[in-house]
Amino acid sequence: MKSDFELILEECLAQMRVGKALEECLSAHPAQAKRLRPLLGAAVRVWEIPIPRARAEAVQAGRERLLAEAKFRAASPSPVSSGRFSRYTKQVLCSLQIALLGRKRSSLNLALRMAAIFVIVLLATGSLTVNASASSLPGDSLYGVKRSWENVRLSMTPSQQGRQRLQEQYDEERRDEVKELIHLRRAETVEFQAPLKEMDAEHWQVDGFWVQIDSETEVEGEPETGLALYIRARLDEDGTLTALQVRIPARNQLTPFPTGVPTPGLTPQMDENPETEGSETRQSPEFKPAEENEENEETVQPTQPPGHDATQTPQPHKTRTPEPTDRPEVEHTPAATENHELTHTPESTEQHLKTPEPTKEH
Amino acid sequence: MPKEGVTPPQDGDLIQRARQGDQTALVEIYNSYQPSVFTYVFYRVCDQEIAEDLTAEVFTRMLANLPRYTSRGKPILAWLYTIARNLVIDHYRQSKRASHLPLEEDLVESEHDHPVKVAEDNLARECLSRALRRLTEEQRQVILLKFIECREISELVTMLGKNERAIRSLQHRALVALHRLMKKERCYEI
Repeated sequence: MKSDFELILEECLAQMRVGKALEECLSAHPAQAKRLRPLLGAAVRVWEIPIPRARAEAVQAGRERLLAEAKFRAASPSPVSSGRFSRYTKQVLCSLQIALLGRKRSSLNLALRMAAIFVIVLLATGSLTVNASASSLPGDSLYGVKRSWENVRLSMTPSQQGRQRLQEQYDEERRDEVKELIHLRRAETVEFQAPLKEMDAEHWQVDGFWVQIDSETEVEGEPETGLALYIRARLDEDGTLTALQVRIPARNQLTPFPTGVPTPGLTPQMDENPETEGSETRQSPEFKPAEENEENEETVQPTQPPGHDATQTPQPHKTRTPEPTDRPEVEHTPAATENHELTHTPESTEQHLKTPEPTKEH
Repeated sequence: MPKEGVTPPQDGDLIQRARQGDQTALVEIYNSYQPSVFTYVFYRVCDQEIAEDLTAEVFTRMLANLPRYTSRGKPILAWLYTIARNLVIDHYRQSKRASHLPLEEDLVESEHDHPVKVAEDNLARECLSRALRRLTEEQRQVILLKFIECREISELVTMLGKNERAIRSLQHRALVALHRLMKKERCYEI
């Protein structure tokens, strides 16, 4: 019935639009006249009101503005409008959202999407952690991450030459860490590899460090200048390095450091098993026998032996003291060091790391 | 008396030509639809100058959006009404003049009409504007298109995307609401 009334209303409006009077329409539909009258009256009232029109000058101004805008756009077409750029950004974000969360009706189940998110978060977090650990030192919370990442990189480096270069880089990093710890006056247990430069009963000089050998020190192998040593040592706040463990590769396995070269090109294998292929794989083409490089020893900048007091008489307390017969001719003796007025502060150690001691008597 | 309807131009062809930079097509679109857009805007803001400015802005925005326009079977006027509606909303948001009513002298005047007649017409427009602003968007568009633009039901079908029966029903509801509001605003007494 309602639709019938709407049809009658439309019919009356159409007739009135072409000139028929309102009353004529109502008399044609007497049953609906009461309902029709106010609605037709409203329509007539609207028709009676003159249509508002813009002023002629405003119409002309609007037309000219439109044409000017069209000319401007034709003259300077924007390669990517701000609106389009916004849409591109939205599309990229939308693609990311679909990749991570899937479409509303995606066939990917929730578990797969969650797994994808988890992997991405894990990779991002791992990457950030590795980056943050790059400058960590022994004793820092992220130092383990740093060393683990180094091992991962070593194991993932396919070429032997690449692994060798990487290992040399890491060896140097270990020595730099020790220098940094000395500078910071931090007490830590450190480990590093370095060539043996000089030695006496109580102190060995390795690549710029004086390492104290005491009764607690475990020494494996026979020391010889120029050989690369693996040293695990306790670093005290005053910069004293006390060796806890020194490992020297067997003569037939060793790959000596070129003495006098600040950055050793050869390092021995640091594994517990000295039979590993490390000594061979880390052969450096720059290797020279120690004897050939003795003249370069003057370029080394050794530290003064920490705790090497002139007033003290060296008391060797080695669990496994190197055999005197195997000991090479070393010019640095404890007696010789007595001529030094030494201070054993980290600052002095740092200073001596950089400056050769000219007063050392040989 | 009902006014003559405006014959719609060939929208698809006009849009295509305008996209290709044909300024004649742009002028044709403007000439064809400017009056309808102005009427729509005028009854929303009830201010002659603001309506003129906003109407010009509607066509500028149309030009900017022309490359991305897809008709979806609707005439240009439906698109222009959407642009106009958004502009009016922006205008009210910016100026916070939602309740603004212009002074009589702001309303359009004709040099040839008697001053009393001009004043009465302006009052009547103002009253209708108040009533129209309280309708829903669809009801307002039906009243504007059918009783001010004098368009056929078939045009409203394409403009509003509804079938004839739905348009008739919408027209019925719009007239009921308009009569109630005009009575309240005393538009019949002017």
